[in-house]
Amino acid sequence: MIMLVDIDAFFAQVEQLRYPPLRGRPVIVGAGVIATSSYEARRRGLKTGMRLSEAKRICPEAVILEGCARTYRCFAESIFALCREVAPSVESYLDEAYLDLAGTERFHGHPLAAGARLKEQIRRVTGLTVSIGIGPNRMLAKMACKKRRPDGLNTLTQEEAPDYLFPRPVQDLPGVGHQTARKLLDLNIRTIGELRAVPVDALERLLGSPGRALHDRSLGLDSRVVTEREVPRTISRETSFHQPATDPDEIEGMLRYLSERAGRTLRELGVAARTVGASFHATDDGGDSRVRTLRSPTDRDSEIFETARELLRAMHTRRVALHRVGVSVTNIAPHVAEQGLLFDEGPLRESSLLKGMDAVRLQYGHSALVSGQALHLLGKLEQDEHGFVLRTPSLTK
Amino acid sequence: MKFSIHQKDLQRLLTVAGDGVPKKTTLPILSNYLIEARPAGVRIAATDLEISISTSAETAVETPGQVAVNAKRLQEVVRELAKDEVHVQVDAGKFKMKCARSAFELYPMPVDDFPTLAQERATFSARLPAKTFQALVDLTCYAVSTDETRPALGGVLIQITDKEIRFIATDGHRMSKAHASGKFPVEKGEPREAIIPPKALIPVAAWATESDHEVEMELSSAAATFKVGATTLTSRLLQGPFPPYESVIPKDNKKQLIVGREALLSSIRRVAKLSDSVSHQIRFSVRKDRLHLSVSTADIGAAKDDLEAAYGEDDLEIGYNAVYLQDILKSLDSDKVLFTLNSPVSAGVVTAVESKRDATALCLIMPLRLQD
Repeated sequence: MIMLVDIDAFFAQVEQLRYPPLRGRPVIVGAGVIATSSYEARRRGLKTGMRLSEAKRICPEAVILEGCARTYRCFAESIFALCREVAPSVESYLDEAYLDLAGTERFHGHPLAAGARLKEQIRRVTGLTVSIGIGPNRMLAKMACKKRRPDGLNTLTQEEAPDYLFPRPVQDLPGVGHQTARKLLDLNIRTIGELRAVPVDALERLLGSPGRALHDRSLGLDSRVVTEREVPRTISRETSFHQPATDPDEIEGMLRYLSERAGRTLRELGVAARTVGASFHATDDGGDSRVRTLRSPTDRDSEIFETARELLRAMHTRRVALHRVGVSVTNIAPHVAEQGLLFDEGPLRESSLLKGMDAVRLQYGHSALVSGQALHLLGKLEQDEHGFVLRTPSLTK
Repeated sequence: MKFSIHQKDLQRLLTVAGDGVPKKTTLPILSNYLIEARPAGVRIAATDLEISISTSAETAVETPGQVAVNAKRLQEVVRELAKDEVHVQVDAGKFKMKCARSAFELYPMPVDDFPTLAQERATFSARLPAKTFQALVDLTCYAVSTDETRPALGGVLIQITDKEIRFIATDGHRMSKAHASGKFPVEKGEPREAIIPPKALIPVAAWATESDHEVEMELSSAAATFKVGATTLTSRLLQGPFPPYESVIPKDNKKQLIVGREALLSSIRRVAKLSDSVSHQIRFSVRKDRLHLSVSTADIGAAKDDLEAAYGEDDLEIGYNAVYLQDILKSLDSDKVLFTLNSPVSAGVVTAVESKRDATALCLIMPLRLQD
């Protein structure tokens, strides 16, 4: 059995918990766009990802908070720690965790009872409510979790799956995003039952390899296992500027700083990334993101920065101010032995420099060292022991 | 234009010139052969703007002329023709070919579009026996870099002094410096070096070895020309600077390890099957008169092997990229190879012990930094 623990309106709930006057009021957390909104706000039609300006128009009485990623992280970590007491294998994300309950039946009894106990314990320890879904696989656990929120506790068995799934809209199926949904709607496939009736070959031709997985899911099948990920798939660091930025020194200084944060995380995890990406969002609502795959994996700040800068320069060609920039690294694999170089010892020298810098930062905080390019940010951004305080719309970091 | 030529000869000409036809191009004319019939014979040329190849054969030409026809199609058709005399003519704007009972028509492209590489006066020329040229190419071309951001490393640096010719290639991780002696008359300090892409050198070596003709090499300021019998290849030179290769050849490597080449090569092949696909890391543990090879890769597994060797210094642990080592060992021909080593982070030198080849090479390989 798989159990999905999903924290209800995570960031907003934490804020309402910390500031009781906010309870019962529409609360939005986010910078630039909505990262999370409370259920009160959702009832007024606000959605995650909506621009704040639009949100204010729709719901002028909403309380908008920038949020504090570290606080949320603390809450999430304590919830996930409780989950680990229930199941041997826990795969955690930002605000949800999959628990593999296999082999714990005799210990916990019925999964529903275990779920109820876990909810109660989370409420007692953190004060937060979570919704729990239980099913024979990840997908059905997710569907069960969506049955009733907030504060839900539901199961969905394999036998119940067809009756429950078939009448629901295709968008409800995990893995069906906007694009896929549009393609399916164009073919007049509106419900999961209608999707189920499409031959798997046709789905594969239409959607590529995800087609087969969707076909399985429409039948309530899902073979993805719950794995404790030691290494994240993506490490991204992004921030919005306090004032829309036009100065290339400030923008690239920020990019440098974000690259350093991403590089340090890679080195802390002992991994290297092969693909580097950059993204931006401009004041006129334009934005773009691009990635580039390197010849060999890297964990060096300068290589990440130089690649991200090149990508950003190629994208940001119009004279518009930027709201937000971001750096991401993907294609992450365990660090492999470093190839010695005959002519240019620069990269190896940088690696030993970074090792030294990481050691200093570990002891004295990230802000103890600021690179020359990031000096432009001094005075423009607040600092704490983790470095400049980033205003990330996704609040993931 | 009208001439006839035997299928076998035509196929040979097309194959030789075919090395000059680019696999992908945005200029349609480059997918064509330029076929030229002259009173003395037929010449077939192709170019990708970096190298151009022209080769000719004596044959009966009735009417001289020129035509540009699609290289891939022509080559495929000629390969399937009967082994008989092929009659070629251009008539009413069509390229017509008859052989035995088959007949073909191809629509040519305008001959004037076919680019000609500017010819410059050669400032230097040298002749090399086929075997020597082949040896120099085999000993170096594997080490050429494929990194497009460092174009100079994408070629072999050829240097000529009055007594020897050197080929040097490196990708920054390994390097090979091969040389052969000969007499190359020096004319008042002309620049005697050029960086030439392997795609020019490899076919020239193959033609020379096949026909056992000497390679005639000419250098000018922008191009190098190689003549092998009736075939000429002109290559644009790659722009330097080539890195200062002499300065990285270690002088204080004292630890000498001698191993059987074939035995080491097959041992590396075996254990490297479990090495990780990015670094191809393999560990050398050098002990007194033994060489242990090992691989340990997370999520894959581990392998060990060991070999007899001649070694009398302190124990040494070094990591290498298995692919680089295999390239070096495959390029050498001797029974034994000599590793001259210093430390786990400095360049190792690999040379053949008693090579039978006409050129000798010094190979440098940088270790992988082992993580313990």
